Amino acid sequence: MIDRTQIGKAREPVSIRLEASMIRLFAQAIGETNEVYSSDEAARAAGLQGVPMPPTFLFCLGSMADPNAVAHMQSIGVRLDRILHGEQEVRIERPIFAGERLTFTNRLVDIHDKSEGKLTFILQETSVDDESGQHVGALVSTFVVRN
Amino acid sequence: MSHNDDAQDVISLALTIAPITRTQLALYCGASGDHNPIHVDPDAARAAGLPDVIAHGMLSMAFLGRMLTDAAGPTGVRRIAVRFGAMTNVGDAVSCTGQITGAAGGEATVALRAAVGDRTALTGSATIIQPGA
Repeated sequence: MIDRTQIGKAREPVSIRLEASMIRLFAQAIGETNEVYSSDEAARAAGLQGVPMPPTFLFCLGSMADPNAVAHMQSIGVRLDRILHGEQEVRIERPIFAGERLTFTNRLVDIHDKSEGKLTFILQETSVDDESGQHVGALVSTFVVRN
Repeated sequence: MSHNDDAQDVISLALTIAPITRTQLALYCGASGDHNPIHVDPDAARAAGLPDVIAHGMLSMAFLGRMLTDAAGPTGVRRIAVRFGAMTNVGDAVSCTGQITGAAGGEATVALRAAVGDRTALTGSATIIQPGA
C-alpha cells in the first residue's frame, strides 16, 4: 500500500551544479550535433552566455541531484518494478547554462487510484531555484503504479 | 520547417531520428542518470516481462526537445509537457512532429507528437519563443 500521509510533504531541497561535461554527454546520447552543447567556445561564438542546457535535461539534473529519490519511493510503498512514467512537464523561466548551481525542492502533490484500484497515480511537483534564490524552473511528474 | 507569410500561419516542425541503438540506450542511461537496467540489460528486461530492452520515455521527450530547439534556438524552449504512450524499442525510428497552434507576445504554442510508424509514443505541447520573432 502506498502511504497517503506523505501527500503534501516537501522533501529536503537538493542542489547540484550543472556541468558542461554533463551537457556534452547528454547531447551525444540524444544525437544532438549542435556544437554549442559540446564547446563553450562555440556557445559564446553563437552569442550564448555559455553551454546551454537542453530543455529536458532539467529533469535529469533533478534526478541526479536527489540520489535518495528511489529509496524514498520505496519507503512510501511504491514497487519500482511496477512504476511507469505517465506524464512529464518541464518549465524553464529563463535560459540556464553550464556552471550554474540549481536547487530542486520536490513535493508529493497527490496520490490517487484509477481503474478500480488497478492503477495508482502519483503526482510530484519540483520547484527549481538558482543560487540567488530566484525561481528558474519547475518539473511536474506523473508516475503510474500498476497494482 | 515550412511557412507562408500569413500572420495566421500554421507552421509545421518535423525531425526524424535515426533508429535507436543499444549503444544509444547505454549512453542515455549514463547521461540522464537513469540507470534502470530494463534499458540496457536484456535479462533485466525479460525479468520485467518485456521481450527485450526498451528505450526511456524521456529519450523520446529529448528528441522532441531537439526539434523545438532546432526551431526556437538553444534557449528558446519555455515549456514542454508530454504524456507517455506506447513504449519505444531498439531499432525504432522516432518521428517527431510539431504544429504551431497559436502565437502571442513573441511566444508560440506547439502541439507535439513522437511516433514510430503508426504507433504514437508521446503526445504533448510546448511553448517556445516564436521562430522568426
